[in-house]
Amino acid sequence: MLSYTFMQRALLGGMLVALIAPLMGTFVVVRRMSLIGDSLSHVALSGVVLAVLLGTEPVYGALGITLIGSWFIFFLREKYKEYEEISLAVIMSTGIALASVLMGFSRNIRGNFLSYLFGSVSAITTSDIYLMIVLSLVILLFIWKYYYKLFHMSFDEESARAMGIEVDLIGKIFIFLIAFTVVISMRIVGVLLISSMMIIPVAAAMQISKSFKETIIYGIIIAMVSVYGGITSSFYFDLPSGGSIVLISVFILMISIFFKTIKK
Amino acid sequence: MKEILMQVRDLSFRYGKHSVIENVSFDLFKGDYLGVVGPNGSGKTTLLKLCLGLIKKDSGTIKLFDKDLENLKERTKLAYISQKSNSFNMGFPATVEEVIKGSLLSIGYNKKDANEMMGRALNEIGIENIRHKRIGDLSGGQQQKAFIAKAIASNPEVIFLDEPTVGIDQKSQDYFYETMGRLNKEGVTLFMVSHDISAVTTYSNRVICIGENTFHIHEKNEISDIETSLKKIYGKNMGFVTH
Repeated sequence: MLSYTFMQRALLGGMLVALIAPLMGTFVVVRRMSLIGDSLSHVALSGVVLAVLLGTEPVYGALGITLIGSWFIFFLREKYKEYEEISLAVIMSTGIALASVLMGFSRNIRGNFLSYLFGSVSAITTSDIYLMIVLSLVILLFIWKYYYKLFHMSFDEESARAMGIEVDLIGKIFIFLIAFTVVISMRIVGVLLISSMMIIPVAAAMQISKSFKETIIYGIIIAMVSVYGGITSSFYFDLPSGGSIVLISVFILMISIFFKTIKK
Repeated sequence: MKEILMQVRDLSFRYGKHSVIENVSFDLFKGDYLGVVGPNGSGKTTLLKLCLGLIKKDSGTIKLFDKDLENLKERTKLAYISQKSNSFNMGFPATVEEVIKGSLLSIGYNKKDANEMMGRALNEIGIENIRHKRIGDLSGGQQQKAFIAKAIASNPEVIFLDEPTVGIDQKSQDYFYETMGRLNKEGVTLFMVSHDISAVTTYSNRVICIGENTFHIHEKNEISDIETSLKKIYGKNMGFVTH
């Protein structure tokens, strides 16, 4: 399997997804922001279609549009302070609506559409990999620098704010980094399943971990097992990689819930 | 003469058209145990959050450590114990040790100092035995002790407390007030919002009675004045007990 260059790219990209998605996902889950990943992934779809229309790389289109989408989330959250989920619903609907309208202008996208929705190991280009590496490094650098501040504000945002932590700034950067995570994960797991890679490995890890750090580490291990299993089965059985990866992670989640239940 | 830690002047805040805090002025002195009582919706928590800068005032000035709250750099001198059901993320998969050490590291302490400070706080509150337990797996009383340990770990000069004993049993409440009393004697200034009039009048040295369009501040020994203020804001005799 590894004698094929496209599979080497797929595995390298997959391992980056398995590292970054649960790392970000742990904070996404504990900050109860799961819907943001979903909203931005739908926005990413419109970026893919727009990039194809403009003749550029789809990942760059997705990156630009998800960053704009992130900014609109901040904007709408300010307008609907008491109903923050409104901003996510608006952004998600706008993303899908824009993608469907733009698809009317493009014939090229339709053939590849399923690969963007559900992921495809064979479609990852070297350019995709380079962008994934750069975005992953930015995320790792941010988490390394702001880990404890993010940790504090995830546990108790008001206390963190009272003690002088720049909650608003870090919170905004964090949402931009969710957009980065969406772009990193897009080609491997597909737009519709991106948020599941941020949530399911973390949910499984929370069942068996005894600490926050263990939750992150177990989440990454579970994601790596899922990604490797999903990409391998995708290669041998010609299945969409995203669906295979997510089904394996759901299977691991079920096992972790089962063992936690019988342990009690 | 007492040292003023916080100076509030002509503070006002509105929710839409509804005035919650109107032209309020008072001082918080070093070593104070200031209690704030009032009925639901009277603006107790709003007052506390305004004083912490968690919500923006409409007008007036708040100075902490002689600096405008907006420009205050010494925020690590403050600690905040909030009404846990509203603020703390109880499903958070972290241990007591991670929560306390993490909060210290987040405000700039290095790992060595954070470890020492955490150890002291765990020891002082007597929860060494639960340091490796996940915070969500603890009882209400144990969680409260962990939050106190987190609050005192950074050696704050002022602790703001918002309904700190809601949802915990009597034994844990007694322990809580005993600990706060001890900290206060050691020089920590306390600003506590509570619905528990007896606890506030028992433990605080000064009492703010807050109600709709009403704001009075009393010394603890002004019992009859406190009774009059409480009658005004609750509309009946409250019959509180001081211990």
